[in-house]
Amino acid sequence: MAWEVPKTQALSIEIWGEHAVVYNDLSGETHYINELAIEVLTLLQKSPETLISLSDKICSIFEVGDKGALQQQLSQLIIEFDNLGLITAVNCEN
Amino acid sequence: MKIKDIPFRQLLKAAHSRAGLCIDFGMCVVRLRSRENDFLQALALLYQDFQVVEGQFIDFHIDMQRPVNYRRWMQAQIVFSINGAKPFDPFPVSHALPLFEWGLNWCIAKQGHHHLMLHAGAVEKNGKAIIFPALPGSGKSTLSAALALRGWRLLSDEFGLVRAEGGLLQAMPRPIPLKNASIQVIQDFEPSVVLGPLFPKTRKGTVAHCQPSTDSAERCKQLVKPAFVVFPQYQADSQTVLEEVLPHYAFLKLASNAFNYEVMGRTGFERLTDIVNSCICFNLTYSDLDHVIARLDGMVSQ
Repeated sequence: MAWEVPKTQALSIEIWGEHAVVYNDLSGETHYINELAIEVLTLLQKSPETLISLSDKICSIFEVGDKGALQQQLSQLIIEFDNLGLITAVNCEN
Repeated sequence: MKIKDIPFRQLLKAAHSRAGLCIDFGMCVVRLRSRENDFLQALALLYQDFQVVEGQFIDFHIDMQRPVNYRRWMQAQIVFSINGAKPFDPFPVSHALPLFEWGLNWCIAKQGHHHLMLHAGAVEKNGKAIIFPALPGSGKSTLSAALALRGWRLLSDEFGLVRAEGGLLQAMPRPIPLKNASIQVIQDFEPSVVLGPLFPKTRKGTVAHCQPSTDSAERCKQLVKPAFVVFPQYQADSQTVLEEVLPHYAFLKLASNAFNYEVMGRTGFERLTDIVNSCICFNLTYSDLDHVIARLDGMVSQ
């Protein structure tokens, strides 16, 4: 399964160094996110990513020692983003 | 014509009439009708430099009248009506002015969504405005009053009104309601301060309103760009400490402080990010008004 920020979704992201806030037009909610979440959301805005492809890309951005722990963290982050309505699941074939 | 330039008898006649007394507060025009002469006298003192207008669009039609029952005469009460609706319980008639002030705040908070409304004091000097977002009890009214008494232009002690279009600050320089110990603090700070009557036993304790300066009232339509955001906290016997804060911290504090951030949607988000990106933001702890004013004077003189 892959994940993406829906094309119909207008997210406004304001980044201040390691911190950012995201405004979601569809929910009208604002979320405060950290550095890792900024990168994940930015990647998912560009194109759909699976957990594996996402963790590969994040590893190339940050120096990550324990890839397993990162994948676990990303997995939780994706669930949170999904619950907040920021991303949606797409078929890998699409 | 300014309120102070109109004979009091003529003001009473207008307020008693069906057409009412129409006052321009800068961001809104209020038509006031009342037969409470003590209330109108206090109002005339505190709003002496505001304009009485005719033939303009009226934003709020406010009546301050006694109820039509025995409380008209026995332990007399006063009722606040806005466009015919009565959103509040009656107050004792002697507390008509605080009721009018709180009622007008309520009207603005409920209907002023063409502005992002921060719960904040705001002042300006040298074309640079400072917003003081804070919770009740943090000393923002006292600080705003002290700055106004030292020549700063009062924009508001309660509403930091950020225009939805353009993001400039709109003034609303109404009388500052000083509460309890703050009344004496301000009288000691500036003995020439003009205060309205003392209102004991209100919901917020004893209240007295500080008259806004002539300059503040005359420039109530002049917009200004915010230059600083200062989160004030009065702390007895503390030194004056101004600490710059990070933008995300300021954003989150401002968003939680705004009356209508969620109602404003994307516009609210954009106005707040504009403020955070264009202003320098500080936490302020203070106890000495002269010290803190010297620091703030220094900020706006650079």
